[in-house]
Amino acid sequence: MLSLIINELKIQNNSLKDPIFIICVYLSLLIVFPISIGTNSSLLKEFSPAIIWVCALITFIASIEKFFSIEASEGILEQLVISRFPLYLIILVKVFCYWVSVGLPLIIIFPVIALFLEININVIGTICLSLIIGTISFSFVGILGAGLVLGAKKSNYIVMLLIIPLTIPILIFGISTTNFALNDLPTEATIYLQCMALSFLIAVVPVITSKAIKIYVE
Amino acid sequence: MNSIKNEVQFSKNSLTLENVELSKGYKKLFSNFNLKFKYGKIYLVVGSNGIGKTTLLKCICGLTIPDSGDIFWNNNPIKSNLKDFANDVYFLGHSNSLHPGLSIFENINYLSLLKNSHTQFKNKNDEFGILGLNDIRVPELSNGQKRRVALSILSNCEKPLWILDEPLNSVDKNYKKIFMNMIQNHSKRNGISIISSHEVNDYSLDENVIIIDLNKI
Repeated sequence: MLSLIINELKIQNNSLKDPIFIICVYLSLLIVFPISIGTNSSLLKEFSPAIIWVCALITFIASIEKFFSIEASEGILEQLVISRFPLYLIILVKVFCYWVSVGLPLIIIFPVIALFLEININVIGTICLSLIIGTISFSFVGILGAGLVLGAKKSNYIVMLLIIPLTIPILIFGISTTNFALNDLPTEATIYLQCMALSFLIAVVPVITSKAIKIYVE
Repeated sequence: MNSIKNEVQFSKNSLTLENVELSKGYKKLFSNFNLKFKYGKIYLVVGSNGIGKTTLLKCICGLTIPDSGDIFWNNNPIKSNLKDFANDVYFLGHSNSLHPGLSIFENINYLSLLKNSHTQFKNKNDEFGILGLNDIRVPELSNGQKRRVALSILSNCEKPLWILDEPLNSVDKNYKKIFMNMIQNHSKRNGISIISSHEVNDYSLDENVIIIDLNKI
């Protein structure tokens, strides 16, 4: 099991440069907003929760449709289907490793970003927790989309159409947690709602994705 | 092949197809297809392009579910025991199942982890000469070299049932001979090999080799 995770991490990160690229993409997306809104700090402060979350979403789904494409073309999916591990377990490992390679760098860099956005140090922990739950949910939704568009033409557009509606509840709960935290309001309720969305995804995504892969392999 | 002395024999397995009906898309490929595969034999599935060789092989190893009929591995239907069956079968498809992001030996470890086959190259036979390819990354290998890596994973995998889809694609003459030895060695150990091919001449035929011509079914 542990070696499955290590192998998957090796597959998803060709080198140690990859997490640095992710961080750079996230930072450059963040820079777009001050440039387009202007450096008026009160506006930026108002928009900062939305900026944090939308940039995280874009980073997560930017190249998700290619997630299974190498494995599909090299015939590795077939080996996964007839391996000794149940397919849903392999998918859970893949989701976890995807989060480790994309989500974890974001979480690590977030406190630095928070300083730039003039976020109070006391609430950074809460926002980080909410980002962790939210980005894990993004990974699940993304891999669900990648599995469903296997073999489809124009999959990069279809996958966006599939994924973005599914991420809206996660965004709403996440952004409201961040808003509440910034305004010193209790955040437990929205964090529980985020956990609810995540637990739903944990239950549903592996089953649907493994079915989609089996249909593709057939 | 002098390594046969210390290798264990597989148990006497059998694979049976009963009234299998298979289609690809809307095209019906076979109906009422019955076939029995016995231990210690090599089966060559031949037929013209598009007749359903690959679909048949995928169906035998449980990737494609037949429209009707059953497949039995040692008299147990594989539908309900897919995990047990998957533990006894090695499938080598058109592509080589090598991940371009991993080195050759990481690939070997990954596949043996997935298949629970404990491939140890250090003390096993390296007939396909892949130890010499050690430092080359997978995308830099030629097609023939990739195939050789895939075949040497196969030769070390300790599974009684081998299902190979055109294994000799882009393999040169010397290695074809080695491959033939490997297959015969496998059948001496009571293994079953099911091989699809459109070039029967590649295989040296003897009493162990049984040809299944899909054109005549």
